[in-house]
Amino acid sequence: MGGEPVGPAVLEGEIHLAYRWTTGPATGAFLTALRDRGVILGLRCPSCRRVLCPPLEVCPRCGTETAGEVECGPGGRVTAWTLVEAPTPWTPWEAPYALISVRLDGASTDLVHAVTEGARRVRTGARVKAVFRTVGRRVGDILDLEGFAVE
Amino acid sequence: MRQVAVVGVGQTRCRLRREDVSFPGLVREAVTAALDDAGIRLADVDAVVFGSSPEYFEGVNHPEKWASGAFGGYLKPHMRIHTGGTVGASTGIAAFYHVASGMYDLVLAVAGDKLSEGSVQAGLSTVYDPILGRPFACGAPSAVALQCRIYMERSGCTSLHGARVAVKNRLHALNNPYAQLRLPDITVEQVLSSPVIASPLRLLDCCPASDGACAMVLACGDRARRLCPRPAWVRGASAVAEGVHYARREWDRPLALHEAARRAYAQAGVSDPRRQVDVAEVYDAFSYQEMIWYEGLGLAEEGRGWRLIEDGVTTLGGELPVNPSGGVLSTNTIGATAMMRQAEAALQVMGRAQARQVDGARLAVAHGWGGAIQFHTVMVLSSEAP
Ligand SMILES: [Zn+2]
Repeated sequence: MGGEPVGPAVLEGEIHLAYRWTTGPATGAFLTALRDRGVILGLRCPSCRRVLCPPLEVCPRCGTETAGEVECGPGGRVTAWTLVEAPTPWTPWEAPYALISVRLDGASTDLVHAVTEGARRVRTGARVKAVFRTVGRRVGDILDLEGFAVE
Repeated sequence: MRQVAVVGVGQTRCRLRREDVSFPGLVREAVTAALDDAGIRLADVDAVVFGSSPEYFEGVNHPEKWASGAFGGYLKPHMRIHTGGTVGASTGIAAFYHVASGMYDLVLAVAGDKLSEGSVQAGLSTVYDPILGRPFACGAPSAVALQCRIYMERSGCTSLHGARVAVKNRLHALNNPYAQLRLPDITVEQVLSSPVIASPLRLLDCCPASDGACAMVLACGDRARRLCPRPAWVRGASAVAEGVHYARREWDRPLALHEAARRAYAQAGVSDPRRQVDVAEVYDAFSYQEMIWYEGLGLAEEGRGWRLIEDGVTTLGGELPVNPSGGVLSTNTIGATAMMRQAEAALQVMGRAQARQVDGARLAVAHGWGGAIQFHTVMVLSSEAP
């Protein structure tokens, strides 16, 4: 914190803070399955029977606690897409990449992720397949699912 | 204005770290407990008001986006409140407004924080004015230490009085299964020999940081009577702000607190709080503050708050117990803390505070402070309907 004065009218500054976020049982299991097994997990809502993927602890629609893991994907269908030409400095992919909403096989909800192989061929309804980080390099974050390849 | 009562409360057990649940899971625990306590289901709730502390504390921006599905905001009228340390109380007061206005009959208020996920004092330091304040920011204790110093010099309060507050509330906490700190052997000597954080504040004069959440169900008059044999009627509530740099800041006689108390007592018909109030839950983040709040809430004469400590008036079993729950000195989630004051006050007038119950409590007052000690909330709860 603090800052270098660059003039009487403006002060520049930065804030650096460290955090450690608890993933909780649902997201924790999702990330663990990605890292250890290269598997995408959903959770079923016992009330409406939908499979939430990514999984949530509570089904928002029913207010019911989810239970029962279901493996989803690795294939899925694109439900919305955009080709990103102007990424942010922290974007992990080279532009252009496609940001997609994808309905994985076996899931009732959509996952937001990226197409990293064949981005220019993405269309609504296109089939895509998950690409995982190489075994041995997985760390337990969402990018253990590196992205999707257009089939 | 319609009659409004608290008909159910839920608190999580607070811990330094709750690594078994995510933030949405934590607030969910409090919501489930409050709904069960009120004997209702989420589907019965007409609207949800959610509160949590400033985003830098936990590093989750816009947490209501993340958690709304878990706390029951899905397809319901829903809003988030944030007013720093008072946020839990402002959330309860906003829920009160929702019902009092006639807009909704049954409203869920929920607030929580997982302070273990960030660095609280570093996060708190970002609250300081970015242009003139940041170099001096050193968490909360140094700022509050100024307030305590002024109070001591003006009133004659000594470090012994601060230590006695610190001991009193930690011993009270032993009666509260939800409280975090368990210090059964704490003594005044221990407080007075604990390390100095920012003089006059020593480690044991300061609150801990907690992971926890709190929720309350508020209902209109006829619903409250049907749901609850002895609801906690909200007789008055006020949330008042003053500025940070106002020339006339009197740290030990906060105008915002006096104004909030004046308004809440006027609504509740309380003319002599020292005689009428049976129990108070105040925001004692730092020991000396409790005595300053006695004065601001009209429970003690100006400059004489420390006398209540000297005379044992505010100890459980005394004439006017304050913080029978163990208070903020025993548990501080920040986000839920000021709502816990309201929830504990509600339990007292409902006669359901178990081992921490004040015998015959009929009128309770709950206080919160936040920001640069510039936001104050006061809620008056009673076993009797207005
Ligand atoms: Zn469902």
